[in-house]
Amino acid sequence: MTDVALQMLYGDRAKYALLISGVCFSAVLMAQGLAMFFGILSFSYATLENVRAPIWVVDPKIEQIADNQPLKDTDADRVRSVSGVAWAVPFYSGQTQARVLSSGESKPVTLIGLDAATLAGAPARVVAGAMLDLRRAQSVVVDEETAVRLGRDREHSLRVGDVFEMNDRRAEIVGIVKAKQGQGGASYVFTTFDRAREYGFPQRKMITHVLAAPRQGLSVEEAAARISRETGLRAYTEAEFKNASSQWMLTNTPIPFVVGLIVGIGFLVGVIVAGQTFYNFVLENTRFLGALKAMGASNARIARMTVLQAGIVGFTGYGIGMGLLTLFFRGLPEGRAPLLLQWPVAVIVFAAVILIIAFASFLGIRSVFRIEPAMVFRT
Amino acid sequence: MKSQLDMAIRVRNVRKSFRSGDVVTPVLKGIDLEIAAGELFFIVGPSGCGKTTLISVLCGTLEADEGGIEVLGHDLRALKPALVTAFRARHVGFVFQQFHLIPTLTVVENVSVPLRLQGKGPKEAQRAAAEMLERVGLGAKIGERPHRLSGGQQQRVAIARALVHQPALIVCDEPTSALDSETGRQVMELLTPQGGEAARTVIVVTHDPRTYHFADRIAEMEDGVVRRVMGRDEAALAFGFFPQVFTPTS
Repeated sequence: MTDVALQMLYGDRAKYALLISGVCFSAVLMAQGLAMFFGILSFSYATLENVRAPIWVVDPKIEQIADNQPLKDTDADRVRSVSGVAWAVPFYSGQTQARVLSSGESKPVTLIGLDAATLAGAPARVVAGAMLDLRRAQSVVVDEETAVRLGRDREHSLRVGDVFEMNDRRAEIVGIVKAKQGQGGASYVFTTFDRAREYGFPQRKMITHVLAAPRQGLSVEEAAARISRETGLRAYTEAEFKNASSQWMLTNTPIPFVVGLIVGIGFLVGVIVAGQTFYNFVLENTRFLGALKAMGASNARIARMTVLQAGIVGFTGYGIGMGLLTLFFRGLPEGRAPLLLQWPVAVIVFAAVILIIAFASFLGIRSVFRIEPAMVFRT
Repeated sequence: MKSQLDMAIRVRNVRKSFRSGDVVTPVLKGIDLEIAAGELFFIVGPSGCGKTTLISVLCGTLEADEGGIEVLGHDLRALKPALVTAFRARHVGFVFQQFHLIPTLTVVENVSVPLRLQGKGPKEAQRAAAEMLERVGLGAKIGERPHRLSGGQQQRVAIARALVHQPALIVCDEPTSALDSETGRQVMELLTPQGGEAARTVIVVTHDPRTYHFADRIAEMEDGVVRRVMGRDEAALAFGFFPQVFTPTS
């Protein structure tokens, strides 16, 4: 009777579309809420995605990437001396103001200081110029967002060769890279560690992090553990630091509550719209289901038909909803919108849709069980 | 009177009441009835007299409160609900007043439903359904949806659905009340057991006196009891019908 159940579902296309749109709408609401959640969460570790290093060594009091508790100038050497460490370089991350020469307007930027010798941690996706040119005097590499923001009073965004100022010092753009925006929409300026001392707000100790990597054959986790043990500093693997930064945002901001509300509303809309629509679908078919029962269809058989119909509606609505959302997200500028459609979003929404389907099926089956086969003689 | 073996239905002192809150309404007040195999048996009477409840009890869609119901050799009251359901699927065909054809299925798919319920595959079931539709004169309509057919054609589809699995008992609820005289006559001719179909028992509940002359016997109900059961001649006298009541409408 599978084909009969499907025909009953597909036969009235308007009703079928209505059923699917309920689930689809709900899936979109939940998925965009969750995508926003993961998107905002990813802002918390944007620097970790823009500057790739296997191990991040910080002061033991540091809880997340944006915390700033400078290390001693000797700490990079101490880390380097730990057995199992392939390399370790000083790193600076801090806020400063970039001033546009033509207008005098200042914009906040996240200043990144990389080790001049190795440029370890440099962004991978260069769209103009070259990272190696950072070895030239007064040179910086900016991300696309910084180029746009600092070039707003011009006909075009800043290009390689353009100049601006940071801390009253000249900075010439030698490269433009793709980078993900950080917390608060921060854009990035990359330079060498020594030059960052001049461009950044002056402070006694400038090393905010030490970037390190394990020797070949040693796991990142083991190397990080050795660094922590032997230096007394805190060594995070990249994944641990991302997780710690996310956790900090989860426990110290209202984001989970706000996003939870959006996802919860999406779920409720799904339950109410999809559940009610499917219940109505079963009710409208009551006399036909009653006729089937009179003709000898058991409750179990009709329940299976109902579950199949609910399942088809759920999975189709889910698929269309997620597909549409994926297309929509692909149209958004990369790295700017706080939306991240990761596999956990798909899994969570899928689980929620299963719950919605189960609820809709429950309503449908309950009404099917209440249908008396004898009612077909009265209607 | 036919022998016990020839009896399709034997009903003894059947009672059925409906409860609504504290109010109990007795609908069947001790029905005794015997219907022979191959008989075209009418149940007539005023609205609310218990006709529909009686056929519901006879075909196992409703459980009686008391009494004995033996249908085609099965004691329905002794059977478990699942077996009653299986009994209906195998042995009973239904023709409803409102047809109850599933609007999203084609005509042939609708007719194949009883065979599908018996576990037949779609192709085999639809092949048998198409043959049955040919027999009721709707061979050209097998791919249509029910709503594109006239009322008479829909009722013929419903009859094809009732006959397709060759049940021994067919239960019809007001099969002609929504049809014009000519279409009603055609419907009754389709329902009347033909030569070679002697085992098929047809029970018709109706208000429609135009069809009474088709009946082998007529049971007249009133207030939850069977007042009398009449043969053809007695019924003709009682209801004043003539051999050919239906006349073409055009």
